[in-house]
Amino acid sequence: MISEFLFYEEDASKDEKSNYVNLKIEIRQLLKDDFNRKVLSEVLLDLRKDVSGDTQKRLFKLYQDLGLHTDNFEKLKSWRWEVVSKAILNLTQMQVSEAYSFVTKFINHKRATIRKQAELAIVTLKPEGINYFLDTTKYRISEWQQLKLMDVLRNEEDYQPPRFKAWLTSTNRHVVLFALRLIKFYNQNDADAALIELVKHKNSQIKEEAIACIKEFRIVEAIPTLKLVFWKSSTDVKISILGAIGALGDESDIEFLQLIEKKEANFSVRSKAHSSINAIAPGSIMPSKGVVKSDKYTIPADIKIKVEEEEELEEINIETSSEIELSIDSVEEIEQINDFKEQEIEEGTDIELYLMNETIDSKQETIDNEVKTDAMKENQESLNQENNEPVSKELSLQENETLSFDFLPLVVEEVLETEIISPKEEAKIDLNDIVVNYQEVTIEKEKPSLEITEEEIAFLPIVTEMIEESYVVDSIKDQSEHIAFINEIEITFEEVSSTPKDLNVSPLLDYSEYSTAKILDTTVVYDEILERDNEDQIDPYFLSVSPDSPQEDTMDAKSNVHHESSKSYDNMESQEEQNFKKIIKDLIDFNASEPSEETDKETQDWPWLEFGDEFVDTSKTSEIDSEEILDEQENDSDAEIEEVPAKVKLTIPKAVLSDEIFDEIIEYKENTEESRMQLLDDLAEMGDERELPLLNELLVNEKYTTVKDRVKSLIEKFSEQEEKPEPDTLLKPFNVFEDLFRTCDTEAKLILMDEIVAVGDEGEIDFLEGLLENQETEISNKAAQVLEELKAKLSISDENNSDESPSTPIDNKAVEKIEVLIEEETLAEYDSLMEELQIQPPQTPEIFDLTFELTEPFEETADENTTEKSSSQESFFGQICAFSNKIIDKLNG
Amino acid sequence: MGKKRLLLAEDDELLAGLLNFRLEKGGYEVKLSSDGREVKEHLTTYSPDLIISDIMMPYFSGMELIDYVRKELNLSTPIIIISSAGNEENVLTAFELGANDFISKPISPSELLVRIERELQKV
Repeated sequence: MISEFLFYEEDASKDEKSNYVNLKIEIRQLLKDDFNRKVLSEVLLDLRKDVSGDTQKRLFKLYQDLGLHTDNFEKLKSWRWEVVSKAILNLTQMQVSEAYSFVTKFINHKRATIRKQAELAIVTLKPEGINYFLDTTKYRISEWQQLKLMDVLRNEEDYQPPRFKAWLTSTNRHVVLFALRLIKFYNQNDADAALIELVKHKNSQIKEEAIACIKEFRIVEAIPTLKLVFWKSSTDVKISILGAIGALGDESDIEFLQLIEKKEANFSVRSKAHSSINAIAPGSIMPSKGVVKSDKYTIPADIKIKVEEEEELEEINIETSSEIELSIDSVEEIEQINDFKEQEIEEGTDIELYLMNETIDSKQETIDNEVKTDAMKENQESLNQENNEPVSKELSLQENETLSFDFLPLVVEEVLETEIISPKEEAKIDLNDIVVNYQEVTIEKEKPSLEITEEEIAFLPIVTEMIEESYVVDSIKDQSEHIAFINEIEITFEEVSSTPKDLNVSPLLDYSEYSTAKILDTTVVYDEILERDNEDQIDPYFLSVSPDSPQEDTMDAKSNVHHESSKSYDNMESQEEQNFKKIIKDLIDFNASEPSEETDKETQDWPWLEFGDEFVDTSKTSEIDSEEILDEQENDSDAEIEEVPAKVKLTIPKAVLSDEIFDEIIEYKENTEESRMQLLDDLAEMGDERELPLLNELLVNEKYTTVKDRVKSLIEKFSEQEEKPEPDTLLKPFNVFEDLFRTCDTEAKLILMDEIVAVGDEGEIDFLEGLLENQETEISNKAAQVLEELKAKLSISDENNSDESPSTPIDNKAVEKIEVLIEEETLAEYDSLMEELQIQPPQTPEIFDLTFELTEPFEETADENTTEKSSSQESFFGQICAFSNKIIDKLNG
Repeated sequence: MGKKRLLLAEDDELLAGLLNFRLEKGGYEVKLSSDGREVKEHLTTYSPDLIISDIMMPYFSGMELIDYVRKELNLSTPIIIISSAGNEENVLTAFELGANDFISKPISPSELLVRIERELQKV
């Protein structure tokens, strides 16, 4: 029946058509039964897997025509996840595109199975499904799911992929990762900038995928970013980056790769760096690990070279190599002789030169003969002596590749070269001499006669030729002139280097001096320039340190820079001496306080910063001032001890200028009207009444009327300040109890009032009087009671105070009385508190009645702890009493 | 000219029925076999013009069937192999043993018909 439906053709015969219609009616009837529907659905789903092409399409069509897909829609509503999942799968398999909108709501289903099925479904059912999925998915996309989705997309017919770069900005990093993979898969190379940015992503997977894309699309612009992120990446990412750099980089990146090779700890990264370097510049790094040195490879003894000629050549090679060593020694000998000859020529005459050449030539001739005979006698017997290249030719013919005869042809080639070049390079006569020696050998090979010819003499030397040239050049001059010539060259160099500095800095330099100046002279001049530079650089700071500079006009400062700086510098030196003397005197005579010592030390170290310190570091100066004031006022009266610090605190920020400082300022400062006015401005701003004597002095000595007026106004201002009462004395003292009263209930208030009696003073009287008018009768009554008690307590203490003379120090007896009173009061208070709190303290503290003596410190502390635990209240009061005793002891010294 | 006789060896009844229907509709006389042993029995009594066989069947696989036909029966009857295991190894083995064509599942009945027609024309 199914086959009939599937393979029904429109052009069928009438019988077939009628049969088809009958089957349709029949199947509709059958499908009314759920079981039949189920069976048919299964059959169609099964067939779907085996058939393809047109038949498959007909199958899908039949499935929907029979309305079997509606069953799946119903299943989507099921609460069972497996049913829903199966339904989505069926709809997907049967390509029911109508299901798309139904399935999309499962895209962010909490159950992963349904979610994944829905994802596959929407991607399969509609081409735009992937867009919807990437836009809306919130969950992670597993690797497997990504593969499945990609497989679906891959098998799509006529699929036009969207530009996946749109999802590189997604907040879901899995979407970004998947988009990257899709970009790579579909070769969408239009997201270069985004890819470069994603290399900086904190997620390594995304990084790697972005790097893979960069490598794939050959985005060379990403290399700087790759280098940037390299150091903070994981090993895998580092390897990916190196791979990308190796693929995209050029020779400018080799330096970076070499840096990695040096800095990187991980060996796999290092080896990847090697491979990247080799990828950019092939063969630049050769394998080294596990590679045995070629020296250690020896030909086994049992394998003999069968050809006799080869054996001969091997021997020759060994012998010649040893002979060459000898010849090198002899060359050194010649070199020494040549040096000697050079010296001689510098001093000497043509005759001497001739003689020396003759002797050298004769000696060299013998050496050359040795070399020639040693090196060539065995292997060159068969050679034609007039031929220049027979050695190499013969060697190649003998196929002795392992034996190194390279030096022989090299010698021949270099002979010709050095013959031409050597006369021009007389100055560089060191190693060339060795080559020259080889040259001789071959020349003699070419011209075997042992007679000393003029050609040989001419050749010999590089040395001789140089000598000749230098001789020609310097023949007129003597040795000292020659040295002078060298000096001149160096001086010229110095002149060039120092010229721009001269233009900028100093007009004092005479250029004419340079032409005759020696090197030392020029350096001295240069040092001077440096000093001047330093001075000029220091000047601004120096001026800023000076007392009036902060408010000084910058134009004036510029105009007088040099003058003022030098002047002030002189002043500073004299002041430094004075300060130093003063410091020593202070150290000997006076046991100064620590801060002042510190400032003295500072002035010692940095004398020119003295003013600056005093100006800038106001806290230090104020400390000193306050201490000085304290000392003075302590001598005046002890009663003022408590008041003075408060006063000092108020004046600290203003007490900036002391008399000493001002004197120094006056000394230093030019006595101009303007400067004085500025100083007075400073005083007005920062000074106080303590500047009055100074101002009076100024008033007397001042000659400018404007300054006088200003001084007068300042005196008036400061004298007013002096007369003014201290503002804080008018302030109402802070009352702890008042503050606490605001937040607590009636019971707590009553307890607090008891505490007022215990610890309160006259400050609490006002507060208690205020409480008398309280609406709550309990509180007002209690306040009245407490007020009486407090007044009584204060009157007792007043009496005690009046008994004692205020000017004399506190007497021991008085202290004892106070102590007793405090104890009595605290105990009474303690009792009342205990009563209120309904706590029954132990009447007889038996625990203190110890029958043994505590000797061990450990036991003592243990005992103390137990007492504290047993009666914390009692120990607290004990501590208070002890504390008061301690205070009294301290006061008594 | 009589109908061409085809031997269809397929263990999947659904697919076998479908293909049978389509092949008969295409004008062929089709003998169905659901396993390898049955195919052997058929071949002793029945000589088809073309054999269509699945690889994975009970008792005798499609490969064995090719070998049997080519080596034991020494018949040159065209053999078309249909299999879901359409990997390279299977395909190569099938052709080495003497199969004429190979179609991977899912198969298109239309395509199968074309291939049958082509093979029969070769003969």
